[in-house]
Amino acid sequence: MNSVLQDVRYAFRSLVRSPGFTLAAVLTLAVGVGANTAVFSVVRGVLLRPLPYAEAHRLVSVVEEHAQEDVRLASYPTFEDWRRQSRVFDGLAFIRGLTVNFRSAEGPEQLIAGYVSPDFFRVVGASPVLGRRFSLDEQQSGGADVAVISHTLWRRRFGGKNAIGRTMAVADRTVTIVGVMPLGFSYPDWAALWMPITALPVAERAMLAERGLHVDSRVIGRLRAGLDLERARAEMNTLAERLAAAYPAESKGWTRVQLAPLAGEILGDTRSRLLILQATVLLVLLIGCANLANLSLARGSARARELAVRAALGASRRRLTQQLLVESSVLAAAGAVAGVLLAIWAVAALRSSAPDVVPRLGEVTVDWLVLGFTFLLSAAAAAAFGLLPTLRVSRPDLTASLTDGGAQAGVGARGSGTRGFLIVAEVALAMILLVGAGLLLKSFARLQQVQVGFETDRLLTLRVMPPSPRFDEPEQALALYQRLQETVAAVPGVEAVALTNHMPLTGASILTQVMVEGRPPEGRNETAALFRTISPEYFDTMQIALLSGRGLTTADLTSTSPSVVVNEAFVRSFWPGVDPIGRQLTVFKSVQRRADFGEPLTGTVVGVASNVHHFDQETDPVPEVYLPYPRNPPRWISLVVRTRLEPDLMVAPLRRAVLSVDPDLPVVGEDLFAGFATVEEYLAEGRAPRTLTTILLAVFAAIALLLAMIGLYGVVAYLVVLRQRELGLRMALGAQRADVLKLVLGRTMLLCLVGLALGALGALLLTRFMASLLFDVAHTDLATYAVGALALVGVTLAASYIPALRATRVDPVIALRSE
Amino acid sequence: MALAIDPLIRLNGISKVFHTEEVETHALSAIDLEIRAGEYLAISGPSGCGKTTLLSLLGLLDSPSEGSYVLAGEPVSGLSQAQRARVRSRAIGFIFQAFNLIGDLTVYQNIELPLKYRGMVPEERRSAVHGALDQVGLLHRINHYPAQLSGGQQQRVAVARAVAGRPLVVLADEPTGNLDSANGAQVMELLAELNRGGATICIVTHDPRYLDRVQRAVYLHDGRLVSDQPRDREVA
Repeated sequence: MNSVLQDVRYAFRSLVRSPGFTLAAVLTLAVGVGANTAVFSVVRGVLLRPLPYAEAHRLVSVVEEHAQEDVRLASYPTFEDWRRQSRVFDGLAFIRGLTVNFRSAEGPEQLIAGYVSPDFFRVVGASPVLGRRFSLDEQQSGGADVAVISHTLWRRRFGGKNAIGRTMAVADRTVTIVGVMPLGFSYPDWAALWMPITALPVAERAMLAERGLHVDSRVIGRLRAGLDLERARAEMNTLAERLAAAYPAESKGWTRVQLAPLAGEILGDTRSRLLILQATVLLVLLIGCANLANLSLARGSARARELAVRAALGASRRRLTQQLLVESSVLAAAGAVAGVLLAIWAVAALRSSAPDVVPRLGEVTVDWLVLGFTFLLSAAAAAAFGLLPTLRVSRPDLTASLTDGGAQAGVGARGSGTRGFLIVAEVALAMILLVGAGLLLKSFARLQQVQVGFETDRLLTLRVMPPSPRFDEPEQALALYQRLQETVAAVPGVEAVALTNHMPLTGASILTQVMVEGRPPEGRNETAALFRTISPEYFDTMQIALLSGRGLTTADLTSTSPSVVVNEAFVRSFWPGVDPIGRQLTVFKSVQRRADFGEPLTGTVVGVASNVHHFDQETDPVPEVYLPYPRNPPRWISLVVRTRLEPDLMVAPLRRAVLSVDPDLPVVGEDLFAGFATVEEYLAEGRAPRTLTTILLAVFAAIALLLAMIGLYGVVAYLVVLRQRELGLRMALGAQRADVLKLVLGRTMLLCLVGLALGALGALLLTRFMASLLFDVAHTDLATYAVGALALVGVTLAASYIPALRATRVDPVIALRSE
Repeated sequence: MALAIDPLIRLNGISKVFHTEEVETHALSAIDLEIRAGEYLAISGPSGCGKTTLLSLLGLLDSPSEGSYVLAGEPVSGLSQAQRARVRSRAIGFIFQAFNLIGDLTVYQNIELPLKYRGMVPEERRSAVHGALDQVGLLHRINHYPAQLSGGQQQRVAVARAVAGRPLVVLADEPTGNLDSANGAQVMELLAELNRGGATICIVTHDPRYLDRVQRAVYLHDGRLVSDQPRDREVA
């Protein structure tokens, strides 16, 4: 123990004496350990920490699956059948999501309410942190109007003060708050508050009874304890087959049920993104360790004589190894402390800059388990960079070290094999990272290049939710929409205004079945198109090109023979090679809660519009049918405003204009869709997870490249020092400067090429796992590999050129000196 | 190997001054020396007298501070570093006290190295290396690495490397300094044999036993040439 303390003291003295080495080592470790700790704390918080629900592993999300691999949300009657007839669940709950107007002292706003079936909180396994769940009575028809609100809404609207017993106006009623859910509870993630399903507006409740109606909802189940997922699936499939046979009109072909662990639904593709990031930072740490191993080797060689003297005086190999390991452990400890500080900062920065991009990010902290991980990581790093030099230095060649340098074995760099390995390792690791980052950057660039099909510049949109029941009737809604359009058009700075049921890129859409003239009905999927209702100004405002025919006109709004416009994708699917102008098609009215829901609507095609990416840039355009919006007045509508001025300047006057039409129209809210937002913001929001992953990976790859460059410089510079005598000899024997330059650069480049080959192979194997994150780029993309290789060749040349140049200045007289 | 130009080497008023910080060290002062082709010359003197400095000037590893150096009729004291390297690879063969074989090259590759720098084609190189190795009696060690040879054998390989390119002059710096007396004697015998074959050899030594084997010995003291005498040499 005494000897260890002595070694610790000696290590401190020795490290203080070499401030350059110590600083470089601690910084390298801090970056490596810090990045790993930060990413691991996110991995732990998001992936490893159980969901905040009792026995969360038993929770599954449940959807219907078609025999042809398609899925759909279950209708309420199907859910009821599942609940009553299946024996695989301890409980099954249905949540109907509905955007509602919520009115508080600060004015109206939009938020999404989850109307839940009885038993929801018990099924999920969560209870309010304040107040209580719904009582049995409250969940019966005619029960008291109550709500449980999310922690976020409680903090935002009630300042975190007591809210239990307070009332608020939600949708068509005034509800009493009976509970506040704990921080981190967010199921479904869009819900800001929960109410009994019996509190649904009357029209919505009536719709629930329809088996063929698949509204925005979730079904969550708690599997019976000990029941295996496969067995549960098999039993549910048997039930689905029975239901499909019993209700062929609504359920033909829907003979399977998909049960997926809830964690999967909540996390989406976050798991693969985080695991890739964790692998990335581990590679960065490995490169850092290679650098440190090299630095330690250089120091070790410089101290060979000192260690040889110690060994000659009787120090055992164990004693020498202990001394060197203590030194690397002291360094690792310093690096770990700096790394943890860096990680705490990085996690805080991530939480504040990207709270909505990574699910459960709010739950991420640097806790004891994370610190344990850091400790293990630092110990592993210390072993990785400390052990190699230790093995070499603790086995010193006494004769060589104590005499003239061992001329007997010939001149040359002893230990150049180890350093060669370090160069190969650094280049290979950096190549893997560069290829990974390169593929993501290329995907990102490809995605940016995807034209959405309309001009996104200076385009603002607002989803207008008319308060119920004042605007429930179609005529009332139409009058409101018209007034809104006229009022907004009159705002100075507005270039054009249009109305549409579902604005592209905002996530809203509804499909309709289509029957077309001259084409027999086919499979279910082949006859669906997006049901789009628009005002005549829509194509001009959006700047969507018309490929043939004309757009809709004001006359079409009231004409007795409806005109419709279809898009290019529609023509390709339904009338390939045929001129669609003048042909007839039939769609089905798709506005829910209207009396005419599902009625056929036949129209004549008057124009073909170019394609639009309705969902996001990654999803190909789908067939669309555009109809005049009064043909099927939507219950809520999107205003589309093209502005002359910067959109930022327009938001306030536009809000005022909307409120001047009706002060109960919500124009603010927590989510993007709840207020005026630019299309660019929707695009950015859609790309946010990809942007974050790409930025982080690019940053880590840049750090890796920098570390590799520093490492390569260090290795080559030290090799030149070690080979000084050999280089002098070669010059004495007639080598020109160019020969020496070629020798040093040639050997380094050869090692670099070996590293590149290994790195490319590693990248080929590892990037397969990120295939789901790539867009329009194969993981084998040759150009990315070539650019990565060129960058590393450039870095290697840059890093080794200065030491190589120094090598050409070796004085050949050195060859005449015997020491 | 001998050349018609006589003398092969002519030094006139050569001085070498080293400047370190504020100290000037006169390593060599006003050296006049001529070496004829085919001559076997020894430079001797006490430690620090300037022997190695003189050898490095003769070998064009360094340039004089003053004076002129004419090698085979060509003035070489004012050559650039690159030009000196070119002359070195063609006209001068080196043998070092510490052998200076490159550890990760084979015997063949070590001997071939200066020939490569000279730009000799591979076939010629192969024949020159084989000839030189044959001369030193180590043809059977052609694929060995230096570490696999004894000290005496390593120095014989170094001799082969020095003579393989048939240089105008072979410069040897204490060639027996790292050898025991038996191996030292063998190497000296090898050099004498090369000289008998026509090679011009200039060695630095302070071992009086080997002075008897040379034709002429110059003696340096404090950087000055204080004696230049022909030696009686045992002729085999």
